[in-house]
Amino acid sequence: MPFMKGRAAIRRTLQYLERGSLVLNDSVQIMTVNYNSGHKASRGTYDFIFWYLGQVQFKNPSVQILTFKNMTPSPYISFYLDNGEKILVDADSRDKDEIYQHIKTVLGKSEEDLQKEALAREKKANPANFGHGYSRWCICEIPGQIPCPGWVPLPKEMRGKYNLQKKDVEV
Amino acid sequence: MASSGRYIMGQVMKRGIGRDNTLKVRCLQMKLDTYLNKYFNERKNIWAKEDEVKCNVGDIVLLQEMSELKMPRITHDIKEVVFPLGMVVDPITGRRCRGTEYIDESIRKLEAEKIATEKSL
Repeated sequence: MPFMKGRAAIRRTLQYLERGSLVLNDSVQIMTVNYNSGHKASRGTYDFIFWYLGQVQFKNPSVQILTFKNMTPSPYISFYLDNGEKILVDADSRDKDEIYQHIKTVLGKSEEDLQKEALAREKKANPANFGHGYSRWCICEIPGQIPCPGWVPLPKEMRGKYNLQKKDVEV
Repeated sequence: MASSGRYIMGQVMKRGIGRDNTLKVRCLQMKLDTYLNKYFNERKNIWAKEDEVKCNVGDIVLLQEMSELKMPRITHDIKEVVFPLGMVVDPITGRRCRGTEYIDESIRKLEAEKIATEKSL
C-alpha cells in the first residue's frame, strides 16, 4: 500500500484536522493572511498556512479565510470582526507556532468555553434524553421503566392517595 | 443603508450594465473536498451596491450583507476598499507599496513633476 500522495499528506487526514485547537471567537468573520514568496521574514507565515490553515478552517467553518501573496512587503494576518473592527497581527519574522499562540490568546476561545460548548452539544445529542423536543415524551415510554399510570395503575405503595392521605386503594 | 449582516471580502469583477452602482464581486470561500480532505477555494459571485464607498474594477473590497433585499439579486453593500488596484497600502506601516517593495514617495513626486514639465513643453 503506497504512501498517501502530496507534501506532508498528514495534513489531509481527518484526525489531523480535528486535532486543531484554534477555535476563533464568534465575533471573527474574516481572516486574511498576507505573505510573500521567497521572503525570509514570511517563512513563519508560510509555515502557518502550510500546517495550520486547514485545521483553522475545519474548526471555524463559517469564517472566510483568504490568503494574499506578494501584496505588501511585510507579512501580516488581519481579522475582521462583526462590529466592523479590524485586528492586525504583524507576522514579520515570526515563527509559525508564535503566530498560532498569539492568535489563540488574542482571538481564540478559551478552554472553558470550548468545554462548555462540548457539554452543550453532548446534552443535545444524548439519545437517552426524553421530554420536549426529543423522540420520547415521557420516561414511561422507555423500556425498563414503570409503565404509564394512564394504562397500568401504579402499585399502592407508590400512590400519594395511599401514602400521604392514608386512603384505601385497590391493588 | 441599514446593514448589520455578515462581512465578506472579495475582488470586484465588473460593473453592472444598466445599473451604474452595482458591482459583481467574486468572493472565495474554502470548501473541504471530502475525499481528498483538502480545502479548495470555491468562488461565490455576489452583486453588491456601491453607495458611499466608491471602487473600481479589480479592487479587493469588504462587503456587508444587507438586512433587507431592496433590489433583486443585490444582497451586499460595499463597506470598505481594502486593497485598491494599484494603490495598495501596507496597513502596518501605512506606506504605499507595489508588490513586495515600498514606493519611494519622494522619487515618485520628482518623476511626476518631471513628466508634468515635459508635457507642458
